[in-house]
Order: sequence, then structure tokens, then C-alpha cells
Amino acid sequence: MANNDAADFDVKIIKWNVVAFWKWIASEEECGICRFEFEACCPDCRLPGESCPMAEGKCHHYFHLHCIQKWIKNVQSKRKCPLCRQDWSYVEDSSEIVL
Amino acid sequence: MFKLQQKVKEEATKREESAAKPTFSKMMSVRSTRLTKEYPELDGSLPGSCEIEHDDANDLRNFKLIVRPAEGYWKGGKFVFDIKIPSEYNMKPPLCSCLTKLWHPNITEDGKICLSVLRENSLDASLGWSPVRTLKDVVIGLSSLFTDLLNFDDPLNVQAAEHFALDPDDFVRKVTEYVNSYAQDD
Repeated sequence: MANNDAADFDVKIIKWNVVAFWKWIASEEECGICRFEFEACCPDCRLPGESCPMAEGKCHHYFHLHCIQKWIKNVQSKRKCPLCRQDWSYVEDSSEIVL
Repeated sequence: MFKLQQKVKEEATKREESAAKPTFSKMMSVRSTRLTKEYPELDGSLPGSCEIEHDDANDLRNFKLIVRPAEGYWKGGKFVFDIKIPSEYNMKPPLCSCLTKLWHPNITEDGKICLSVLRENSLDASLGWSPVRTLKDVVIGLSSLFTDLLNFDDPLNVQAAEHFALDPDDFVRKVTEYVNSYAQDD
């Protein structure tokens, strides 16, 4: 409030609506493998969120967990990150869904 | 709280269990979604020397790439490449061959191509196909075989590379002879 005389401005809150959204915190917006946003699911899934999470590698590259699993399962990948070609391993600390 | 490490393990077991089940419909959908996203991007960014032709407009998985090099030894030629997108795309690279007969160190006379991005098995894994690669990378790679990516030191057509090393003028003569005989508009 512009002035300090708050007592003159008597507001009664009757109702309020809260809107929240969630987002995966990553340096990229979309998964480089399937080209879908992290907030959307991988092409094999129907629902986004914890059931189709984002995975972070120690090289700090991000993919849908299902997409990167599909790639490293492929023998030809030699378990390398598709972006930087370093050995792929998941970050130790858990990532969170941030509200 | 959501734990990534735990999820990785859970999903790994789940994947193994479902591996036995056929997943054709899934594979189809993955393939077409990535491809559907890639085509508009490709259309807007084709190099001037390249053209894409679909025999069947509904078939996104088979098309021809036509390259007319604007410079270099193969200038004046029209080279047609056949590109097939496998069902496992983009875990596996597109399959490409050159339909136009040519004299080139990295493409054999019967059309086999040596290009790192197309290689599924790469010795050092620092090159070769990766699922973050796109059709655009493939198109640019193929068209660059006539310019920047032309490589006499790692030949697939060894004879052509040796030919160039021994007698560059005669190599150029043969390239031009092939261009005039096989790489012209119908």
C-alpha cells in the first residue's frame, strides 16, 4: 500500500483461488532425444509427471528417463551421452519436481 | 520426495518385464512423432544445393535427396540419394545410399557411403549416430561430402583416393567423365 495508514483500507477477503504449476528444473526446455518438453511425457507414455520423469546425467545433460534408458540399452550407444559422448551415469542426488 | 536413482532402478526392471511384449504400435508412434516434428524444420533449412523428393507424399520414411553441388569437383552434377528411415529411428540412423554412379573417395561406385553421422558402429563412439541428431544433420552431411567433408585420407573407395594421390588431373578427368555420363538431368 502506498500510504502507511492501512487502517483506512479495510479489505475483507471473501474468496481466493490458488493456481500452481510444476516444472522440471533443467538447463534445457525439451528432451533432445524425442523433442518433447520435459513437462510433456516421452512418446511412449501417456501421462507426464513422476511416471515419466526427467533424468539428469553427471555431464549435466537432461533427457526423459525413458528416452535415455532406451538409448543406453542400445549396444551401439556404448552407454555414452547422446549430446557430449561422455560415459552416461545418473546424478547421485535426487532431482525434485519443483512446485 | 521424488528420487531419480530409485526411479532408474524401478524403470529398468519394468522395461525388462515388458521387453517380451511386442511394441510395434509404440514404435510406429515414436517414429512418426519425431519425424513429423523434423520435416517442417528441414524444409526451412535445406542448403541451396539440396532438394527433397517424396515418391509418396504420405510416406515419411522413404525419400530422395537430390544434391547439385555448387562448387568442387562434382559441380554440374545431379546426385540422387535414397534415404530410408528404419523403424527404430531415432535410436538408429537413417539408411542412405547414393543412386547416382560417381567417382568419389567416400562413396563407392555402387552407392555405399562413408559418413560418420550415418555410422551405427563407431570405433571410438565419439562420432557416429546419436539420437539427438536429426535428418537435417544427415542432409547437410551428405551434401558436404562434395565439399567440406570430402576426405581423401579415410577412403571407402580406396581406388579413387589412390587415383587422386597419383594423378590429381586424371582423377578430375574421371570425375567429370562420370558426372557427364551418369549425373545429368534426365
